[in-house]
Amino acid sequence: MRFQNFLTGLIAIVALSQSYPSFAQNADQLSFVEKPVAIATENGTFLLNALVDWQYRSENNNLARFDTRRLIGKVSYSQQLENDWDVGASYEGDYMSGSGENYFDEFRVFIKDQWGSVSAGEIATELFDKAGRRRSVGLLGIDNDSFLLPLETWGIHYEWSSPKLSLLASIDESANTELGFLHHRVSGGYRLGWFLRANHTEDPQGNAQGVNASEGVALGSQLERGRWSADAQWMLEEIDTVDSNQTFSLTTFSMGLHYRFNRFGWSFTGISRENVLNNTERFVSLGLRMDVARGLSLNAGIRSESTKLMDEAFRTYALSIRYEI
Amino acid sequence: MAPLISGCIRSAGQQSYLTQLESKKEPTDFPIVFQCNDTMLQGTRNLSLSPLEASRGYAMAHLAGYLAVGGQPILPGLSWSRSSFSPSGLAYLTAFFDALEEAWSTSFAPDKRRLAQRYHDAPQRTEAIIQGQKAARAVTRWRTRDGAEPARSRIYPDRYPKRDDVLSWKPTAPFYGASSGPDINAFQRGLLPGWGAQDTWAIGSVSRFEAAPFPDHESPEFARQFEKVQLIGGANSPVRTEEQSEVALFWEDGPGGVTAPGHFQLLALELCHKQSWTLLQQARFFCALSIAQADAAIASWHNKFHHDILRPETAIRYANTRFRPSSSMPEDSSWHSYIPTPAFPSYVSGHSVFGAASAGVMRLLLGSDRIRLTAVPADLVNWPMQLKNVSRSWNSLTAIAEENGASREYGGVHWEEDNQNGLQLGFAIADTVVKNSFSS
Repeated sequence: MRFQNFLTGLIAIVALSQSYPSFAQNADQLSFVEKPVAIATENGTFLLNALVDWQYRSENNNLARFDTRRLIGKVSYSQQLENDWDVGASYEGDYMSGSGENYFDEFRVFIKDQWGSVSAGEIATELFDKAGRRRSVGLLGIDNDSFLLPLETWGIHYEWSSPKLSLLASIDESANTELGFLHHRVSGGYRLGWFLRANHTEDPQGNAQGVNASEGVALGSQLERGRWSADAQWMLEEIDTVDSNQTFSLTTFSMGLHYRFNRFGWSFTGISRENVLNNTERFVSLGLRMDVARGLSLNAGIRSESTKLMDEAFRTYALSIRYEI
Repeated sequence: MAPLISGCIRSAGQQSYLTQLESKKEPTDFPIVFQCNDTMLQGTRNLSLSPLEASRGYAMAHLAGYLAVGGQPILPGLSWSRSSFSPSGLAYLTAFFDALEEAWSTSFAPDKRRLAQRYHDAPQRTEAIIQGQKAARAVTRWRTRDGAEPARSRIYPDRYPKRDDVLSWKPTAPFYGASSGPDINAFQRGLLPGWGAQDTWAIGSVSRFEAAPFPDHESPEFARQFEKVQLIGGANSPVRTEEQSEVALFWEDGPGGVTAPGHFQLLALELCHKQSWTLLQQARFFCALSIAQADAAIASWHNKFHHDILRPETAIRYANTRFRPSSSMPEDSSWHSYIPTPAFPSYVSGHSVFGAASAGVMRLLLGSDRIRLTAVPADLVNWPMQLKNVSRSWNSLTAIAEENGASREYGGVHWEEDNQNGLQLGFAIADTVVKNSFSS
């Protein structure tokens, strides 16, 4: 019943916005957000970016509800040196309140020129962000098809790129490594690409899932045509766990389909993943983003998870209003 | 009577743009200037560059290449003395890619190695490479801190104060109607608002290239242009012809493609292909074209953010909020333009300035406006359905520039004023660039 109400609400948002395009406020009312949020120095620029998100989430047919507020702020500075190199630094803070309060932050510095770019600091997810599937729109997207044992937070990331190829490498403070390769090109009416990631990570203590070593490879492809894009990834990962002292070989397949037109963006994603109990976990999600005005968007998502151990699929629904400057 | 230059660009959507010039010829059979340009245009597409970043790279690369083979354009502030070294393709390609790498902060090492293979046994190989490197360094030194780098942000301090009246630009959705078009983010901030404040290349102070003020919103002229774009540029326009719709998409050159200046580089390749020019003459032709395009980018962006004029999409959808309700400017809150409205102010049209500056330089250097040219779309990537099997023909360079400019009115993304004054501005830039820097 709740699910039907949710869907009805979602359809109503879409229908309302299409029947009455001016419902989405006059963009004039948000004109202050176009004003600069930056300070210029003689040769560089300070930038401030921020995101405020107010999200309502309901889990497993309304057994649990959460009302979450999130504020992300990012301050960055970049400058061009006399020799044409670009240097910069950024600090990002992420505060979340709702079921408890959390604060994460991230700091990194970079230097860049035609020989490549080097980032140092909290770079653990940098390689996955670049050599991975496209992020979903809306909420609850399944973007977690990365290796089970990630790099430690601090490290160095290097990237070399030409118009068609990119080579990426990350190494963390314990000498764990991730490597990546990207290739993309245009062919007729299509934009095609493929990527490869590989890792070797160890953590004697084990992470939250009890994994203390991981070696894997992920191979993916991307296809774009007009407003549509699709991507898929196959990943094979060998892990050791703290408890069993045993090596498991896990296969994960994930895919995404994205569409964007005018103020709407849609995405559908799915993952099929083996776990250490020799079960297959399946996740599917549908996301919608509707842009209302400069920086302001409404987001909605549905996600369903199922495993053989569960009698009923675990579903999550979320709606949010988000404002980015 | 001036000679008639004719050509035909054959098939769209190939990896190499040179196959569009002569399908039976391998890209490696073309002169080095063509191969370098082809690699650069493919790079524009693969890197999804904006027309502004693309034009700066074109100018840096072509200028470095021209200097390396003995060219001596007159450019204020550029420190370079011509050497007695004889023009060499290896010097050209070294200079070209070294400068392009600096402009776009990306590596062309694999392309450089591939193209340099043809000079494996060339005499004075080391000297040629050194000559090329020196030319690229001279250009990079000249353009480092020219104001382009800090301008590479959509959020930029008040270089250009926002207009505070009803004509001021606002981010657009964009709401557009043509099917199978590109994926564009909604309500984006203005593209690179600082670009117009950087140092120009050959035209001196950019303030000399300011367009006349935009018509007052209460003037009959504004009402006429409002009605015109609402009628002809709407997604389901009853008055736009099939050919005008084709023109709108043919010249759209939106994100992910070769860009508007890149499209004219491609047409220039075809025209240059028909000439029996030396390496130095080819290098001069593309250098002048590219510098005019880089100045066109700066001048049009200066005008855009200086005048800060709203797009037709905003004016038509919010007419009653913006203007005094009137029957001559009826609000249509469901109006969609035919092609996507770009995320930056309207006046003047960047397409019109790029097109006129490019066509203007070409007609001056070719010594004739008369050409016979047939071309297929530069890319199929944004309009794969509509542009398949399309080709267009022209009899003059001016006609090309005018069609390119008019395409923005047919697409519903520009006012007539944007196009007309943009064309005028572009031709003035071409005259100034050739007169100031390439007259000898």
